[in-house]
Amino acid sequence: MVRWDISLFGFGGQGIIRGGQILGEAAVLEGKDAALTVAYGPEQIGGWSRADVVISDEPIDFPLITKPDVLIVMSQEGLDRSFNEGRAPKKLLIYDSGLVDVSKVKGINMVGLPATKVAEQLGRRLVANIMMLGAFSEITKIVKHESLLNVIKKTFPKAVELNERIFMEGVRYAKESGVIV
Amino acid sequence: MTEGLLPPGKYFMQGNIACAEAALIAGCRFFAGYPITPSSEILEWMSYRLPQVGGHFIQMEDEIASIMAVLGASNAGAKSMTATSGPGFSLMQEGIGFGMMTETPCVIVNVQRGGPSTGIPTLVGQGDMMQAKWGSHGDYEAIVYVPNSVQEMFDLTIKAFNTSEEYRQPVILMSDQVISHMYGSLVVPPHEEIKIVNRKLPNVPPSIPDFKPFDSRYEVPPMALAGMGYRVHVTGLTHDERGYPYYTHEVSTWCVKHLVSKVRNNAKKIWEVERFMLDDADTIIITYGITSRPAYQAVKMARSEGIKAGMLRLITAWPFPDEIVREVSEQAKVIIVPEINMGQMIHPVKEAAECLVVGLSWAPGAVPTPDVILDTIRAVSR
Repeated sequence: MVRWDISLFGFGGQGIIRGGQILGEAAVLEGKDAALTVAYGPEQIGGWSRADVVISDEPIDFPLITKPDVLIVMSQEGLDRSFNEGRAPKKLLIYDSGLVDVSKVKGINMVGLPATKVAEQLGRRLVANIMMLGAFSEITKIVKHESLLNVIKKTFPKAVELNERIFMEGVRYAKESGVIV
Repeated sequence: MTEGLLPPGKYFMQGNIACAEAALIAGCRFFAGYPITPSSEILEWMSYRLPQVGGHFIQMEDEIASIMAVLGASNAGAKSMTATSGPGFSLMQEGIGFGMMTETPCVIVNVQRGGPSTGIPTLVGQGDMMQAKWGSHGDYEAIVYVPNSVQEMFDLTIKAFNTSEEYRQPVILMSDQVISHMYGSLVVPPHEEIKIVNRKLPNVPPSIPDFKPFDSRYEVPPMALAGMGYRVHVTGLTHDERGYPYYTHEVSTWCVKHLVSKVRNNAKKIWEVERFMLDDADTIIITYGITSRPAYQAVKMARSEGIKAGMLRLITAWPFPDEIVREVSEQAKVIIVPEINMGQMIHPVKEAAECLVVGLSWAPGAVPTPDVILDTIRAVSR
């Protein structure tokens, strides 16, 4: 059985949980099993926010994550909390290089991309999470680009082009990083 | 009939939303409730969806009023539902007893969180399992289902409505914070393949003299609804088959025995369990709901260490499947009962089992990991 434990961590308003929903739905539509559990601080906007996604080729037994294989992090607090709580990723760290300082992280495959900055340049900071998903998809190949793009299109029918464009930006950054897991 | 309902297909959906959509497919057209974490999404979703399918939603002033509104709507003919969590479930207990006594079908969803009292509103618990059975005063037989996945939030909600209509009494769905808030895969079959049960209505005209709304010739009497023209007295007082309060031991004996035996006589039909790796198992986990999820993994890990582990998962918690537990216990050296409470379902297991029974009591606020359950399996199988 191939099981992937993926944790997305950031703050409220970045679309962390939405990112988890998109990832899980794409996996389910590919015929895999997926489970998403979420955790967040008391504030709606600005508080910490975490989405844990389990994706597996077989039915998932335990739907919770104790230590992720992949951590996608979009805030410094997200990185610090993950590492302090024994939830450092086993295989891969993907981070927003404009928001997260990873200078203390050692011995883990890492890919940084300026997702929020690129999203701002494209005119909509909200789509940064989609760039993270593009990079994640390119490196891990757990779900296909096409599946994710289909779900993204369905979820945001009014911003199809923008989302596709930033998704492919994420793919490009991931390719250029040369990181493989 | 299927217009406006969730179409067949594959979804990635939250447990609470799957429950609400299933209720609509089961025919629920009335919801009364009061928001409480972690059940609120059911109420929110019903407030949005019910008007779309011609149903009615009302947010009441509290949980006491909510359950009473549900019972009223059901007596007027609507399949009805409410959803709540621990503190709200406590408030509903008197109304649940009223529903049992008046034989009013309805579904109550309790999304368990950490307790007692307000406890930990946002985190998981399984501390209401005994309350679901014994929460209201007097004698009745609760029917309680415990889902362990988003798919079962869907399937068992429909089943809860069907059972409730079939036996003419409230049925309780005992979810928990993790199963309810989790997103998971859901397959909705073609609607025509989904079994829907509707309550039996009287087959005599309202004009007949001596109409008996609780006719003792039936195990489950057909239900005369308000507005159909029958003379019906719906009361929480001990009543005879005419529905009139009557205080003799003879009538009390008939009334109470009728309430419990319609469930007891059909318990085997109501019981549902999952048998996981049980064939040659001698170290057997008996659990339910979210706690079964780490248990699957713990059983597999134990097997890889050469321990003959297996699991019996309770899908029906009440009426308690005692004969199944007894039968399983005959092959067991030891039974382990992990649950997120200080020891509740271990009691009926002990009553039924003919082997050593060990509890794994886990405080609310977190789900035990597979390692925790594995450690107990290792310890007791030595």
